[in-house]
Amino acid sequence: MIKKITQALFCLYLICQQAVLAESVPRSDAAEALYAKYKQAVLQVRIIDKTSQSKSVIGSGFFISRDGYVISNFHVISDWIYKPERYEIRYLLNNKEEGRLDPVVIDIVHDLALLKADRNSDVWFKLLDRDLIQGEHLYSFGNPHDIGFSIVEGTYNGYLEKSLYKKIHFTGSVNPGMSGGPVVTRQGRVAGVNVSGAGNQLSFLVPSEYVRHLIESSMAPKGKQSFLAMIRDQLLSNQDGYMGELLKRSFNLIALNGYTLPGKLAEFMKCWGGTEKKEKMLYEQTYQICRTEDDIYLSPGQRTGVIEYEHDLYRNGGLGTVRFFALMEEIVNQPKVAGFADEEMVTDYECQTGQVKHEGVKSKLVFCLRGYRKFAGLYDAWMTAVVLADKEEVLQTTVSLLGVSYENAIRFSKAWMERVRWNP
Amino acid sequence: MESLNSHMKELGIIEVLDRYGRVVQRMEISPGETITVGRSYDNDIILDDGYVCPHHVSMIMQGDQLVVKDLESINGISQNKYHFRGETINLASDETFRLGHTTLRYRSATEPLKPTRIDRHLRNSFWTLQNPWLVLIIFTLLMGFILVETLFLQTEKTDSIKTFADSIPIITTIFAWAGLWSLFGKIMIDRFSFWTHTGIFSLANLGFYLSAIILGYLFYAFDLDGAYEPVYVLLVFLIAVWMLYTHLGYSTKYPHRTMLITAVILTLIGAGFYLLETLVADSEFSDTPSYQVLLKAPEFNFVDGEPLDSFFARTEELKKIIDEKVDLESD
Repeated sequence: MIKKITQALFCLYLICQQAVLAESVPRSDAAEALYAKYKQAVLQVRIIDKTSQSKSVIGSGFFISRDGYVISNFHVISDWIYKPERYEIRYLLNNKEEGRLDPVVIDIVHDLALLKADRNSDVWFKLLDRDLIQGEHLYSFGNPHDIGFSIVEGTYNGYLEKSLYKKIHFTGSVNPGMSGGPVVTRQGRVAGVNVSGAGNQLSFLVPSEYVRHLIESSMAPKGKQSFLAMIRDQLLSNQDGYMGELLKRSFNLIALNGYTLPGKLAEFMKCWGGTEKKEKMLYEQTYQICRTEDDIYLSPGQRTGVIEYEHDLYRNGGLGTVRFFALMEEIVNQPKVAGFADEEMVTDYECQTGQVKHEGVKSKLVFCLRGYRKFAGLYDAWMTAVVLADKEEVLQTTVSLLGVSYENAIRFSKAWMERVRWNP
Repeated sequence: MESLNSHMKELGIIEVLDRYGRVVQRMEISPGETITVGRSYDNDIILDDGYVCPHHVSMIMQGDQLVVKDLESINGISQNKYHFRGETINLASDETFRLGHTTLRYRSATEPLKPTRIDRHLRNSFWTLQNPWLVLIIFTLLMGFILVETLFLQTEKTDSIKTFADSIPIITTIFAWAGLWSLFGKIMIDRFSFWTHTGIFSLANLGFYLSAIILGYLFYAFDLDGAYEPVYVLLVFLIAVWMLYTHLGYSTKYPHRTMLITAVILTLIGAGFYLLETLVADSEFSDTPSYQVLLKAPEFNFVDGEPLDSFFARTEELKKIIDEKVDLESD
């Protein structure tokens, strides 16, 4: 009885304490104020299928000027970019007003688009012109799941450290439909643009500096260029940048049994590995995989701007030499490729096989290439090499380069193979 | 001619067989006619057999049966292990009885004859496939290869029962194939030759397996991976022609030339389907690369291979092919 009374009193104490704590945290009214002030500066961006007159894609956007310039994500309007004859871009305001949007300029690498609305706006956002502070409160606008305009509070948690494409780590919920919406400080200055979420309040923003670059680039005088040509130039220039950087460096090397192999090439690569040996398995596989943490959205079915490589060391565990190599032959002829794409965007792979010898090491080498149908000069390259050295183990090293020029694909693949060594 | 045929239909034939079952003497018998058999020279059929009496039996044809009467002989007569003396027995067509050390067989003239055997020496150089022992050896060898191959595909420790079970569909296919040819043979020339067809199909499959293995090692040894598939397909084509030609040899009466042409045409049809399937597969978009690399133990490889520069210089050709496709799309 005494025990039950003690338990009841303790529960009462906890409830009271929580009530006191809740009362002691000052309720933030910044979200309320921001929403009230800027609700007319946020739009729902809609991609409308002309035939059915129904929404095909929805996202968000925001005015950045009085004269109707709007920022959104490239991935929100990508259907229109590839098939302008089939779709139109429209907007919906908080006050239910609707209208038409026309793309002006895009930044494929950072997933941004600058559009022009068929109206002016009395309310618009200004870009942040200072650095953010870790833990700073940010407010994300958008229209999640087409259920209505919303504002979400979260915090700034720095930039993604291992990303090839700079992004803000935002601890707050960015849901589908909010892409392209602004994320602002308490003062209503745009710190970033919603671009993706990984669930559990883990979301990513395009920093506002890229919005500024995009606006500046739209003002720069230049000849009329199609959006596809714009994307092509941006992708070629981007890959030239990071591939050039990588090729300038001396590759970081790792040792795997008797082999010396390229390891983690840059900070923006994420690497992991392991060994698979189940009780019944008659061989053992040790692998190391490295991949760029981030990629570039190109179309609904295709990502690009990715480097991925994998080393697999297979050791015979009782199969016998003939059987072990029969298995290896089967594995080597089943390619593991990074990146998916559809027929409209890329050609089939064309492959070349051969046997090479470098620094006394013989390898079976396969090099495959496929072209981007809409962006001439860009390719996905895939290479796999099997070192012919030991009869009890087989080393296979595989590289995928998505969205690179032919020259960079060859330079990188050759540099890669030059660093594959066997030191028995 | 018609009257001759009707006369033949009524006749019976009495055949004297030697100890090996070969016919050494034949005599016609008409309905109602009586024929005597014994060692004495006044018999219709005279037997040079010391165990036969001078007048051993008399025989008369009644309807389609032969009535044999023992003439109180010393050793009597026997039929189907039963012995008779001084008695009468009835023989239907194709039945035998024994007197002394001699066997007599009665046959109606309308008794169907066994099918004429085909002389494979004249028609087909693979006549030995009629030998059941050889067929058994070939079939066992094939099963051995299939088991080895099944074993090759297993990368985990498994029960041997599973390995055997995996080969059941293949065995079923072999028998089904042989069965189809047997039925065809039965329709065409009234012969099944099931085991011969099993032998032919098994030998052809052995050829397919061995070709793949030998070519695999040979082409790996000299870095000819690219030529492996076309050469293998050619070999498969030739083996398939031989297989069909031999099947036809055991199931039709066609001359060599007709059989060969038929075999080539059938194989070409098969090859046409394969080609069509390959073309359709090639024309369909694939998100993954397609290639063929031969891989065996390093000690079986006898060439160094080309330098990296040379390999990557060759990739210009790939770029050209792809750029043409992209240009076509742009056009």
